[in-house]
Amino acid sequence: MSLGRQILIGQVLIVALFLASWELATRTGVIGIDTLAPFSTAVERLIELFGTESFRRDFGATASRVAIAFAIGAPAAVICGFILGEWREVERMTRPVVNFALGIPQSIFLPIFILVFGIGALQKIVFGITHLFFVTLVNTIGAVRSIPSEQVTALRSFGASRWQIYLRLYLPGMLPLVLTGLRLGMIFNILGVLLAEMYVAQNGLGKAIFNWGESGDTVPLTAAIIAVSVSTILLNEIMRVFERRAMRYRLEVGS
Amino acid sequence: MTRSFLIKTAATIVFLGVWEGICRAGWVNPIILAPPSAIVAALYSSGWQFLDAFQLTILCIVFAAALAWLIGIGFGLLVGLSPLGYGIFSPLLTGVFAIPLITLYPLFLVWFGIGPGSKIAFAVLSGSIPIALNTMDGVRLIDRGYIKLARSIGASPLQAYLRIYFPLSLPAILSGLRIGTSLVVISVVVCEMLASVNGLGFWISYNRTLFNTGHVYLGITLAMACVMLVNFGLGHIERRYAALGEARPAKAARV
Amino acid sequence: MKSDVVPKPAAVSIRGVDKKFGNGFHALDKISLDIADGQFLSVVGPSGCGKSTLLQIVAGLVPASGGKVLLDGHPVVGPQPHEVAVVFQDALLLPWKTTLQNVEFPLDLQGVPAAERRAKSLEMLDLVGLSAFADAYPQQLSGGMRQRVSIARGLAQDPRIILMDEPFGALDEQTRIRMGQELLRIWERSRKTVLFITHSLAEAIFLSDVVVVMGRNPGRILERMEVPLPRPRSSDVMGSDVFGQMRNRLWHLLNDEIDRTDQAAPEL
Repeated sequence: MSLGRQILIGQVLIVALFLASWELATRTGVIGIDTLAPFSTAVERLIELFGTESFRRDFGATASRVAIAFAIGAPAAVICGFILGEWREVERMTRPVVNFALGIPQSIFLPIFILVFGIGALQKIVFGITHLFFVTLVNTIGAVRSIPSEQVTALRSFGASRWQIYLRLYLPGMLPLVLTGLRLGMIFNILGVLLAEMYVAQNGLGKAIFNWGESGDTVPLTAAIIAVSVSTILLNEIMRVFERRAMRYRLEVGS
Repeated sequence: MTRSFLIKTAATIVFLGVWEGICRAGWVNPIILAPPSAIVAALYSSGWQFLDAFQLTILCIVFAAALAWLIGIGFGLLVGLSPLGYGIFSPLLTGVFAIPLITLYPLFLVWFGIGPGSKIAFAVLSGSIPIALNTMDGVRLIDRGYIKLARSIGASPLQAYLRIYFPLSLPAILSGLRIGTSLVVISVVVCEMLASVNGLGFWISYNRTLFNTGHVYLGITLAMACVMLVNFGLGHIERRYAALGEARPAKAARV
Repeated sequence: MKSDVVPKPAAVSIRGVDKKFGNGFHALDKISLDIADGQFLSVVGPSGCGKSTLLQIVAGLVPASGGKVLLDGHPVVGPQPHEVAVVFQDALLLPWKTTLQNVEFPLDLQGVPAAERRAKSLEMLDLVGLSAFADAYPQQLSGGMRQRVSIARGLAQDPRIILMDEPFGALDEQTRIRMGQELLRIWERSRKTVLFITHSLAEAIFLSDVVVVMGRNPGRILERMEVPLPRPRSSDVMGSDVFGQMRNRLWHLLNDEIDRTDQAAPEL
């Protein structure tokens, strides 16, 4: 049996074992319902929850904040990254600032965001944007850097225009790393929005999760955690598929 | 060097002066930005009360970091040496790391209560994953020859792990420790901010609700200093160790 | 010099050793080979003939699929650090330990008292000519020096048998020849039983009492040749007629084998 197949079987076994022991321990009462809801009960509740108006509103609020933050922050980060990557002198000047910002733990600045932006949707969106901005920026700068300068010179000597160089060389060359940056940015963005909602908010999935936790209501709490986990894992894996495609595309164009 | 030090000191003094001036002049809402003087004053207000909070947070961090190191390194060493173990666990842990783990914190509150237990447990979870992932990567890249060497010189499994594989993968482990320990610090503070009755994060949140902006800035500055201290300290060791490994033959003398 | 003496009992006796890998590759086909006590025996062969696998089976690092290996009549079931030392192609030194600490390391693991293992290791470092570098770190040594440290580490285990798996394969030609001379000098002073794996015909003839030629697909012994050169040898023997004839013979043997297997396995 090949190693790849053994790995796949191992992974399936471990996930199955995890879910089975979770289900078994909670069903048999080894772990009480006050501590953890059985997996199946939580999934049932999740389906019910999506039927309720309030949960749909919370889920929608969070999803729209994440989407807006991404729609504003991602293009901004990619454009800034492209400019910094192309404009070496500016990049060299701003590098300490960018590195410093990358090293700063943004999560602990949450109280200041509330002081400045209040507790509404705006604050969640801004917090999401700051979470995604720098990681996407740095990856985009790296993407520009990954374009070999000899290839630019070669294309120029063939008489290619600036736009042709961007379209034929930069776009396929940068795509994989930019997509990595966008994927990581999205993960941080979701984390930022949910954290902000858990801290202080009027609505949203984070707020709902936190309230269920405070009241010890484990069934909807577990259900919501499953919803968040499954959707982020799916999103992450889907974006990775695009990354791999872009990588193949880059190799094909490059050859 | 003294010259640049002078310039930096002067720049800092000017910066603080302008900051203080802007706040004194009333150009910025005092709830949003506290002047440096208010931040310093927060140090000794209410009888150095924040020191108690800070002390508790540090204890939680030390305890959680020790556990995260032990679990992360131990798991990584055990799993990383076998291609099958690495193949199974590396993608699984990477996938889990994409989940906004903070949504699990309410569950930890249910399990471990509002005291330090829930903070420590959550910090161990979020900190040990990058440590385990980096350790695995480090161990996997060990020259397979060392495994044969260990067996041929009669090293027991424990001796082989502790005295050969662990030091050989130390550069990767150190970079995992830097990331993981930073996450431990952030996790403890953020969890305290979200729900707690004591600790630095609680102190920040509590003062935010009272609009003691100076206190909030002081607390956040301290938390950030802890993260930077970890980052800088472990980063320093990491670079020194990496330099040791890369050192080229000083005098490649005869044969 | 050796043929007319009463034959010593075999230090290593390889009996019908067979090795098939999980993917069906037949690495070794019923190999039988004896190495006398104190003998220097080299194995040469094209890549893929299983010579490294054979060494690892003798070392107890890899299990055989069939047959057995006897060391002084006792079957090998696993690594035997007190009996057998292995020198690998890479020096595999520990970069955070000094030369001396690296040589001491196996003895340290076995719990040998500090003073004793230090004395032993210094002696071995002296033997390989690296006493002056006892406190240097591996990164400060050249490739050849590192390999000599690795040989000293093997010798310090005080084994009766040393297995060397292309120990000079990663070195440049010049260093390699000098390391061969160095090894010969060390061996003539310690007279251990040596199983030496190499690609280089000249190296094998120069060093050995016996040269074994292996073929591939499956790995098996093509010929076993005594080297009729007197000892002690100097590098001058490489210019002798006997040396040239042996080398020629080995070269043709290997060439025919490569031609044959290339036709049988065109992907090579």
